[in-house]
Amino acid sequence: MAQEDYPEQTAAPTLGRWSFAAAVALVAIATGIGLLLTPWLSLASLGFLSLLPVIVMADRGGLSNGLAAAALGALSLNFFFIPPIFTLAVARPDNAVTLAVFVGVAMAVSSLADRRRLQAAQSERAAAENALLASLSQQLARIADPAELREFLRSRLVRWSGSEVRFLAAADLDTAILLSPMDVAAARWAHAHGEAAGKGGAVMPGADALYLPLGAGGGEHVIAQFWNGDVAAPIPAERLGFIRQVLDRGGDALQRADLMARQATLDEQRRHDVLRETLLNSIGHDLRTPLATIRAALGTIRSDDREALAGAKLEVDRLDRMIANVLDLARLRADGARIERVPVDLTDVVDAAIDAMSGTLTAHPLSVDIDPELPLVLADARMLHHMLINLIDNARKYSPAGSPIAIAARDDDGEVLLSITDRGPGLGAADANELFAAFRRGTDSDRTPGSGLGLAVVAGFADAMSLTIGAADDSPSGAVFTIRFPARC
Amino acid sequence: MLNNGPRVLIVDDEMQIRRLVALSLQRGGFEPIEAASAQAAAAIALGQSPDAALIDLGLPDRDGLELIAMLRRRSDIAIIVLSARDGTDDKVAALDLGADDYVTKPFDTDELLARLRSALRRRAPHDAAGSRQRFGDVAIDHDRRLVERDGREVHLTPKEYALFAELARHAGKVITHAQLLRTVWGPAHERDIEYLRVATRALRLKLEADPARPALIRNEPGVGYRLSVASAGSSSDESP
Repeated sequence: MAQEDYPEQTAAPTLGRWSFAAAVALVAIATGIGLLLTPWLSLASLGFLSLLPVIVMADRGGLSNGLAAAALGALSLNFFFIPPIFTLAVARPDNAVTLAVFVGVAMAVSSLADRRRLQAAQSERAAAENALLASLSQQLARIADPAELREFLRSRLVRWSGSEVRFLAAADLDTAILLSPMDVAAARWAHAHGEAAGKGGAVMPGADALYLPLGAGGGEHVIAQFWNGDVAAPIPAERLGFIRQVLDRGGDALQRADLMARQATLDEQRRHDVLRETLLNSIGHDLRTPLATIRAALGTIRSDDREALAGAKLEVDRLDRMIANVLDLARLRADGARIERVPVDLTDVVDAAIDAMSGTLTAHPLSVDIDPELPLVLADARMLHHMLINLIDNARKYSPAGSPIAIAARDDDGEVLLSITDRGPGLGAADANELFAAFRRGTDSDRTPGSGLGLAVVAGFADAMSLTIGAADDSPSGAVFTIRFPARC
Repeated sequence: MLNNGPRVLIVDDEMQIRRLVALSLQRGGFEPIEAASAQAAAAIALGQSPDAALIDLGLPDRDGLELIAMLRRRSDIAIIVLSARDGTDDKVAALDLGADDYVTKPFDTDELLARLRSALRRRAPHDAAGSRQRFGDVAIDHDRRLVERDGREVHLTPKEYALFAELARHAGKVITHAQLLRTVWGPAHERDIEYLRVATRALRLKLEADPARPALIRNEPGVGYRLSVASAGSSSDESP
């Protein structure tokens, strides 16, 4: 793919044997014509005639050749046409002026011609560079894999700069295998300022390699390192602009590829979430269906043994709550809890929770004290419902029959504090934090077995909704569990 | 006015549940018809025009929700859904599609019967006293647009009245937050739960014996509100 190579720099033409011979020849021709037409031409006209070789030589051969033709032309003018002829002396001052003007104009013409030649060469190179960049962009757009993209880019940079190229991560500069501490500094500088730094550059030329920022890709900032042994400039000066453009486009392409890769991961995750939710729902359904059958059967059994029947119904409800806790915990652990925060009236939540627990609370007088002016709180209604059920159940489990359970909610300096207080044994030696970890219980736990799932759900939901929960001993006895809701702005 | 033995269609793919619910219904004075799938239920509904339907949302392939929509399009049949999920999405979806109420499995059969009766009551033809309703010591007169407590008129703002009237019209049944907001504040406010909470609070302060422990206006978390009524018919088995 020779087309993919950087265009060869044609060397600036220099004065050589052949071009000198050409200059001599052209000047000789001009002189010959001048000699033939001497009677009809003024010195000035002869001067103009002698400019022609200069123009031709400068246009074709550049400055040095133009100047050579200018020198030869001046000599020829002086020798053949300026009296005294056939000498290099100049008798009259106005002829001297003409000669001087000729030399000046000849030099100017050479310079102009040379500049034109240079500009033409530059345009050609720019066009070639643009073609390479366009082709590069197309090829970059076709690569989706970030790693493949980086390798492709690197290979192109190697080809176009003529140096060895490495990509370094900005975060790993200290540990990367670099050539010297100066190089680390140069790389950092390049990253910070977005400009070239290092060997052959304006900044920190003492480094062993040249560093240029690539942009962000793969979540990390990348710097390109150009190294070419002892060569003075790893990237030839006239190609620096081009290489920077290549790096810009490469950086953009890397970012794009990286974003697409991340999007693909997210899509995959979402599919997993949907699958998991479906699975959990299905498990819930499979667990609850036989339970529903049992409950319905208990509802239709006519028996004089009311206590047994009532007891059985309560146990079904208890099992139902446990299933809810297990599923909630599974969702929390998998980070799949979908939270829908809405303004919630705690009166509603407390009422619904008490209602759900009404069958089990028969042995505990309940008191509810909710400030009527209590502000609404922001929470997921269903999660809060489950939290409260678990806390009430916890209070019931750990307090003796006949002892009261108090639920209260009040405004605490802008925040809302919901508390459930029981008259049980209190927390005992258990640390409040331990209490909320799954599978732990406080003291005197052998009286009411349980795996501690309920409090784990309370803690998990509180965390998911950014609420603060607390547990403390109440005086003179018992425990108080609290949920704190932040002030709504 | 209820006819004797309203026909109730039970749609559930679990035979045991169908049988047990059918038994409870019979004891409650209803005439049960069983269907094991949505397709069977649709055919029965077309042919026999039941007065009510109990539909399990756990039927395969969203059949339950589609069945509700189909039934609601055709008639005024009372619909109660049974759901084994404790999430609220499917219940709200069912209510939005036209279901009248729901119970969560495992459910109390008495609860189911009570809600069934409430749902059927609404569907019953208006009688002369229909514009006045009484709930304990609270009464509402729809014609004169006023609410009384202990015989004395209670001052309610227009929104508060509209809210209470809507709850009363569907007494015993749950109404979703969205529907209440749409009806009282307009469709543009379907998501402004805050308005609903504030108005409910005001109603409770004015009408409940203990606003902190509401007995009349009850909330179903994540679903909606329900005006609680004492069951008209008592159950055959004791509740704890």
